[in-house]
Amino acid sequence: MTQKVGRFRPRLTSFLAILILLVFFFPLIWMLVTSIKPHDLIYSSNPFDFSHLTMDNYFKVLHDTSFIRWIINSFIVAVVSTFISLVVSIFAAYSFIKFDFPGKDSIWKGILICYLLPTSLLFIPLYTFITKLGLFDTYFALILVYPSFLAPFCTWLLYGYFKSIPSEIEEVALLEGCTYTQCILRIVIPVAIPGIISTGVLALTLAWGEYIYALVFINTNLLKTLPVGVASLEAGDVYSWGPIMAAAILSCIPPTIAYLTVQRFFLKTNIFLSLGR
Amino acid sequence: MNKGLKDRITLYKSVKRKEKYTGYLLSLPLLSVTVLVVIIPVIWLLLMSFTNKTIGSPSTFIGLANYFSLFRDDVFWKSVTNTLKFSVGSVIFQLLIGLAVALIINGSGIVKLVTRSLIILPWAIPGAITALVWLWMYYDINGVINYALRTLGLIQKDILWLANPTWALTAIIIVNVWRITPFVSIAIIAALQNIPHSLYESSALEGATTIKQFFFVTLPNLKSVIFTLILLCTIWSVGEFQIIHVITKGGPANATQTLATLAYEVGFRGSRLGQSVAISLAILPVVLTLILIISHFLKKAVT
Repeated sequence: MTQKVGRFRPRLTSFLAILILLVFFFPLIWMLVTSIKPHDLIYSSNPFDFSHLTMDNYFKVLHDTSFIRWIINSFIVAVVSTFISLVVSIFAAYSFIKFDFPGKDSIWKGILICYLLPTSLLFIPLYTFITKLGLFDTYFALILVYPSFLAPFCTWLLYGYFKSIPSEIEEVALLEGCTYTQCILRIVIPVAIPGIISTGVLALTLAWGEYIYALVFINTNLLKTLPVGVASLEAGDVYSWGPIMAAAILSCIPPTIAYLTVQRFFLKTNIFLSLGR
Repeated sequence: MNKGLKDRITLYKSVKRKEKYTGYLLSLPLLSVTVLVVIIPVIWLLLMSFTNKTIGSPSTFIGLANYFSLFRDDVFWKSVTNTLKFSVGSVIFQLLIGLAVALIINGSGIVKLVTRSLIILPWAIPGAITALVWLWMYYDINGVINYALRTLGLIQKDILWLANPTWALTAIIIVNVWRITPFVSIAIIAALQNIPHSLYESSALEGATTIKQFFFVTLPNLKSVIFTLILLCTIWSVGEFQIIHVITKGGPANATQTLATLAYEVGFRGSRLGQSVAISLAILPVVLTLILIISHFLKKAVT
């Protein structure tokens, strides 16, 4: 009896859950289906005709386009900018928890504002900034700019995670004469590794999918990141949907794996909860 | 008092005194990053809007001319209306569907567990990429959405999703709702799991039905998370760029042009940067107000 309290009928809701999953996954399924259809089936009058399937689209996209270069570019940019953001935010999140200093609240508020400011607002001034620095059309443009949203994001998540770590261990270490830097490197980071990894993975997926900065700051085809590169295949108007969807599937694989592996940490750190407080 | 203990207490006190500086020192890297790539650009944004800056040429001060020409520009006002319609439409459905989905997939059982872990994917994978598959599903030649609607007998003639102004706006709202709803659901589920089970038990003992429990136990406990989500979804929708840029590019005839895409068009197609920042500045007051409300509520998380 108590099991049922506050819950709707389990069988009906399980059925509805499957339905919801199907609706939300249909575009992704359609992406996969199109990617393994040959050209003539994609343009046949019945979209649900799966009489013969092929992997040609994948070979085509890997062979005819700069897809592999785009992956490498996205990877470099995402990893470097995430690393910078993580380092910066580990220190900041720690300082927000352990210290009381004047202006802390306003700094925290300021960082939140920075995270929430839409990128579509900042891209024009950042564009002039990047060109002034001579970084237009280089990796450095994106590596410099991505921490603008990654660092506040990481600080926010890490703050919640660090807070859940009991502070007794560090206090003992401090009493024994440990410096704060030593304390962070030897105690806080090792204890917080799960939280740091999951934050890093989430930041990687954000950087991986970023669109507007990558669109505006990069001009050379070989330097494009994955989302911009793949979207530009469509804008070409000559490319068929098969290879485009194959490219889309390939770009979805890394973030999918990333999310499914950190899921455990993700729910444990309960980042969404910090939203509601 | 024991001497060793006394020494330790003085040491601890001196450490505490240094805390203030250490606090600043440790948050300094983050502060410098934000100042460099957010705060300076925002100030720059304000200053640029008073100039006639174009790509590749120096700028001169022209006062409020950019703003005056905007106010006389029909496309600008159309974009304001579109941004409003797009945001309001998106947020309402994101919240309603998100809440419904959360209530359904919260609970025990393997099916719900799997659904909970997979449902976040539409939000997690790059928006520009998922926008591409939606474009293909809406496509006027062999688009699967029209095919499905025709097969189910819901329409006689194909809907020109991307050529008809009303349908084009609906189309991008659908994509935005599809993309953000999973995030809303997961956030609500996190809050649902935080509601003490005893509340449901005691209300059940007093004879409350499931529906009554929803209105008198569940909803009041979700108030703050829903409120934050409304603001968050509004900010995201107002600033949305990638979905619109990939699917409609603001067309047909500016029917889906929002402030974000118009700023891009004017700035990078038309290369008039000064004018373009004036457009994106129209978003700033709205966004800032919403953010300040959020941060007011999140302040409790710090203290």
